[in-house]
Amino acid sequence: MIDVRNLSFSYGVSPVLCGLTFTVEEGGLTALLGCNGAGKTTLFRCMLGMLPGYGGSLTLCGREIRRYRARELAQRIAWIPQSQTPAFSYPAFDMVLMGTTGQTGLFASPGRRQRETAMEAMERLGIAHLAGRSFLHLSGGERQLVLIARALAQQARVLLMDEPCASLDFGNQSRVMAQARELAHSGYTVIMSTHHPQHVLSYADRVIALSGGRLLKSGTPDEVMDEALMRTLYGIETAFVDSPVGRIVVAGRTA
Amino acid sequence: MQQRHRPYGIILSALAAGLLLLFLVSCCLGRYPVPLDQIVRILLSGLGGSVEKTWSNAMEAAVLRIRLPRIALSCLVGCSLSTAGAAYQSAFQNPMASSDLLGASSGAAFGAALALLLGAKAGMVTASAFAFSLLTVALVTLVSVRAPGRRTVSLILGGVMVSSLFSAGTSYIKLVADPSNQLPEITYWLMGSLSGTSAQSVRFACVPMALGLLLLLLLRWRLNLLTLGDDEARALGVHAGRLRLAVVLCSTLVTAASVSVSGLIGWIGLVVPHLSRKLVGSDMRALLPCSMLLGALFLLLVDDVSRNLLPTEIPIGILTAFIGAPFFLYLVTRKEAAE
Repeated sequence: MIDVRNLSFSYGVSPVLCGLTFTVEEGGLTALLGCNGAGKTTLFRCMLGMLPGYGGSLTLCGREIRRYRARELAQRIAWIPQSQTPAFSYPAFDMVLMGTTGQTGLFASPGRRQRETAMEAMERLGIAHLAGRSFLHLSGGERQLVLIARALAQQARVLLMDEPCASLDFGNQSRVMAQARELAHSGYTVIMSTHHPQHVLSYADRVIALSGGRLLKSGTPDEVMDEALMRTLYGIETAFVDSPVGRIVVAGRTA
Repeated sequence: MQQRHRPYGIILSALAAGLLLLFLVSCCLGRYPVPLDQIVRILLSGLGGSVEKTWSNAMEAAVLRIRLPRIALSCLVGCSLSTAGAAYQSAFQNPMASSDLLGASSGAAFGAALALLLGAKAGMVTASAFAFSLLTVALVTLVSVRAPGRRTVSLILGGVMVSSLFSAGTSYIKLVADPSNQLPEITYWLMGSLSGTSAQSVRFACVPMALGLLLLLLLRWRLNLLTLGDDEARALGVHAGRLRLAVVLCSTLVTAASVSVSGLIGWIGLVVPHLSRKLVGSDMRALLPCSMLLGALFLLLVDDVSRNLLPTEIPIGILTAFIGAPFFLYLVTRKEAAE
């Protein structure tokens, strides 16, 4: 579905992505693993058409990303950013409704069909009761779910999640990850950047490990994830343990 | 979901009714008293209705030639400045942005001062203010396109720089102007006033205003997406840069038209959108029409005070600051009502 061939990008002179090559098949949850500055966010921005000056080739459904118009791309790829505090307060429902903008004309406001789409998306994630609440007053976990609902209302088949568990508590992390996995298994192609190797082990179908803008390894979590990879990515010692709930990774104490 | 929209409808209808009422009352107010029922008759006959003439010619002249253009213009200017302010606040994701953020006012002030210095007639002063206002914003936009880095930040910085450049120009003109007649004229123009309003200035201003306001109103849903930031808007299928440029164009058009006929009237582009946000929330679908009505209502009210409170008229720019600044302080210091 998404085909990356020899992709490179640089802000000015410093290269951020160098010669990335990988493929993401339709469906399933692909995790993007890498330390800060590995190029995960830049890769997402390339996929979202925000950086049309990339080198190499990056295609979605066989068509180069930079050839899509913003609206066409929005109908195919949705972005779930890390939630920021918006300058103005909107009800959660309106935030979700904004996802439908690509479906209406330039001068149009969302109509009944768009409102239904937005409400269905909220119901699917079990957050219909938040519809009238102000987005500013929601907790981090609730905001993340609202942003996921907005992506569903966008009706794109590819979902890019940017560290969805950043600043969430333990329980909400599991809830958001379970939701992402469920979406991936119902036909959405989910690509998620993450800082949690454990989430990769527990939820991902595939993993792409980036370091310094280069592809380190890719494959299923069982093939790819091991002590050596963690050492290369993060420079720390880890232990992988088999447990009744699956493989577990623990970081060792550093001196 | 339908019931969520109903309160907005009620608020907007109430504002519209209030505006209509104030419009009629404003026609009565003035040194030459005209009773309300005569006003309605005069207005109806002015619209081409066949009404038996029960009023004097002096009444008709006072209402149709003097009061009506001024009332219409204060509504238009109030509506324009508030709408442009609300649109700018969304486009720059900044609740403190006002309609002259990119130098529209200081450009207009320079243009008017220059025309007054050269001894131009009233019509030329207006045209010069309008042209310089557009020129200033065009200059700021060009500067921001050439500057590296974030476009929004370079737009605002460009606005501050070019504004201060034109303010310096205005100061210099005041310095060299003839202190016995030109300087008071320039000073009075800069204070902002609707006192010299003629039907001609209403005609001059209403076309660019209508054009800009209509476009902004049509784009009202998309303006919401600009408040999310450029990347999120882009991912949702909206070209934030192009949309912001359209907002800047429309807002500049209406601001330039307002400032060129009324002088510098501050605060309204900041206070009215904030008050509207308290009434109907941040959704531009409701906020934009609410700002339009409330802006017209507010400026008409202030203008009534300005021309009736004291025997000599108080320039409206001073009054809006007297009312606007304390009111704004009240708004920002007030504890948010729990939602």
